[in-house]
Amino acid sequence: MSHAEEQSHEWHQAREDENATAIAEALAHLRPDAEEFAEGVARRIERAGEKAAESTLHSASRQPAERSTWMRFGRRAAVFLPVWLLPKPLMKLLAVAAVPVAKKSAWYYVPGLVALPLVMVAISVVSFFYAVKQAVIQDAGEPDVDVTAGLDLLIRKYILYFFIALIPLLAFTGFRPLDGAVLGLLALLALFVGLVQISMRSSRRTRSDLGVGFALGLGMISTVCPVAILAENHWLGEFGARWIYFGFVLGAIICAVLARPFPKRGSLGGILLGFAVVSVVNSGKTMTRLTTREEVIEFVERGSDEKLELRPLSNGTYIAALDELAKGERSPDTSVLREQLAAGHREEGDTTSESVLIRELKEAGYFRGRDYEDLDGVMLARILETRIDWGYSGLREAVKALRKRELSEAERERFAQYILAGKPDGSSWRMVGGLLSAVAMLEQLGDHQPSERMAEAAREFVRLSWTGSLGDRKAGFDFDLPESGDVANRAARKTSSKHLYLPASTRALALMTHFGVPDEIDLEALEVFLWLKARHSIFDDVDSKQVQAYVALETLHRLPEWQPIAVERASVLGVLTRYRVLIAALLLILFCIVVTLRAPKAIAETEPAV
Amino acid sequence: MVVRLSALTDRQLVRAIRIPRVALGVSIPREIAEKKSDSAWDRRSLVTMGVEMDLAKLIQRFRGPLIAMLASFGASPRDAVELAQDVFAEAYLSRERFTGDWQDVSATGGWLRGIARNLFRAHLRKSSRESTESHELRLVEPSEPTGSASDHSHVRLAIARLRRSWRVVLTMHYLEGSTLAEIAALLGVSARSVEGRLRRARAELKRLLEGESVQAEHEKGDAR
Repeated sequence: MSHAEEQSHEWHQAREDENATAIAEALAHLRPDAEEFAEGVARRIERAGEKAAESTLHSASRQPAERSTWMRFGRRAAVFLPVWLLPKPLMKLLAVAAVPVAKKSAWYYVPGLVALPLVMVAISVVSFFYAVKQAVIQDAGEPDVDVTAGLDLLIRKYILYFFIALIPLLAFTGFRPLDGAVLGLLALLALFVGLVQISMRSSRRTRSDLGVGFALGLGMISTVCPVAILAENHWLGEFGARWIYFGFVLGAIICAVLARPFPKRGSLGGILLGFAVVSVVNSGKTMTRLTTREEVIEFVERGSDEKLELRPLSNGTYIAALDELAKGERSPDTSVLREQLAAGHREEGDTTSESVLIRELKEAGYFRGRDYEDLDGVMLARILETRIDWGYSGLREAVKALRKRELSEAERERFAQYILAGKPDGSSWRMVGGLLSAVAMLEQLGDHQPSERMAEAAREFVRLSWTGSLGDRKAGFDFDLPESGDVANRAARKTSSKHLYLPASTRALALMTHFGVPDEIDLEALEVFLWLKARHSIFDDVDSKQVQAYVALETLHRLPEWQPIAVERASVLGVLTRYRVLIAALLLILFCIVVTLRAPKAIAETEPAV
Repeated sequence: MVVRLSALTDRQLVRAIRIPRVALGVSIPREIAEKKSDSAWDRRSLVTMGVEMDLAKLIQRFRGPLIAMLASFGASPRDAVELAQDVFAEAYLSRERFTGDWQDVSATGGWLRGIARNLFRAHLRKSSRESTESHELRLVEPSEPTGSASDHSHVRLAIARLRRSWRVVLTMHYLEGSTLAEIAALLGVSARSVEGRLRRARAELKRLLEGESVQAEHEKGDAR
């Protein structure tokens, strides 16, 4: 049907309505005379032509075509990359450049920055509807073109613009990983829209084709999910991200069922079953749970698979675990561990580090392997007569000597004064071991409180090693320390790269247990880090890192400064912003299902366009 | 940059047209892709293929719905007509920037919608700079009819009482009998959506008008 015929048909159909005439006449005041209207347009064009002729050469050299190309590019880039997402250095650069042009408009971005998480949710929702519109409402009557042209379209219209716009974002650090994940999902949405349009243009847009394509696409994404999003850092673990995986799996299955690509029911069922099995196996990485006390007991009872390296107290996973378990009701069976320790001890002999470990074990009542009653008083006498070295080895020797001989009250007091008179230099992690041993010794020597100097060194050390928030509300401690007291270095460190280390956090917690928590330390952020580290896959046993994290978490909860977070009912906006990655992922899945459902079951014969 | 099409070789012509069109997702007419010689490349064939603009046809196709749309933005009937003329003139003057297919209703409708919005915003800014008095005059002037304006005042009142989205579609359709596709292109929605709104608008209008006539009969009866 031609345009004129179509127009006439609809017009006559409308006329059948009894009110059509009345409506048309009621609108007469809006209807202009056709000729007068056309003359008005012509007059305007003529006037504009005269003005253009008078325009200067300067205005002619503004190259409107090029400008419009850049504006088009900017507009499209802005669809996927809001300006307020740009990192601060680039924002500053843009702000400086934009001030002469638009002083006012710069303020429009302030609410955007404040409400960034909510804005990301809004962008996801708007993009979803836009994508559905692009993929479903596109006029199907367009003439066919080859797939190469469709690929050109895809690259030029979506992917290229998106990734070019993403380059400055990736070039700078500092944007939130969660928002980066939302952007990644939007990129996938754009990719899917482009693929749908390719299939439309190459006449492969049936429900079967689209459904199979989406099922494969979602299936592939689901296999990448655990590795890319959850496996290593768990930085999305607390925001419902593990459900993203199952969302993709479910979406793939729904699309496959809607597509019905197989003539026999059995074959479809078999493939879906196979896919489900692979998915369940794969999901082990995404399904994690918090380590429990029972699992730590099992870990200790299981013993080590490797030869036990006997290390000092502050580093020993088993020692830390045993210390922690000793505070509970049920004690583990340590026979396997004792045997392994004794075997290791026989092989390597009586080294000083072993003696520290075994002392602790013996103190806790777990180790009965070797008799240490044969004491050597020579070493203690030597230490007492010389100045104590605050290095770790000096204290280690002192501990050993202390255990080997009963001290008189005067000797105890003298030894304690030596320790208290020491000058800890808080510039390295070596000091921490010494400080902790000193505290332990002071406790053994009598009711001696650590000196204020020691406390100050410990607190300064905790402050220096604190990373501050690294995004996603988690924070902890770093081994990489700036020079002690060097304020400039500390400031520089804020902008340099920082890493969270579990052993560093464990030691810092031990220091805070004895010396208090400095004001700068955000215990809730530290809890988030430890909580993520203490999780393990539901299909795996706990390992030493998770035990360390569990012990650290328990230690944190026993700090006097720790205040459990009050459970409050989250607001709707709070839930929306917190789960923005999940929302973006679900919208992507919903897009696939909607587009599959809206696609025709078979291609209808369409009248070819011009 | 204005390039004389007649001065281009076949290959150059195909490339010149293809590049911007593929960038916007517009397919290439087969005639261009399969062109063997440059003998028949006059303006008429280019217009037929949607490469060049046919202003008269564009006006004929979009005049009614465009005026109705501008009126729905809040322009007075006179301003709506003036603005619509501005829109067509601007579309013609900046036609080089349009990289789509002039035969494509959806593409041209979207193009005109963008221009119309921009011009209407400029019109509003200009109006706000003028005196408050004249602005108020403009506000009371719009298409809301007075009782003495015509015999169809009750129809106008009923139309004015419709929901905005229905009223817009109804006005765009009945002003000059525009097709659903043209209205959809100007509003940036699907034709099916326009059809639905139009159907509901007709039904609601019918209900309103019938209600009025029943009330009028009652009033007559009471007067007797």
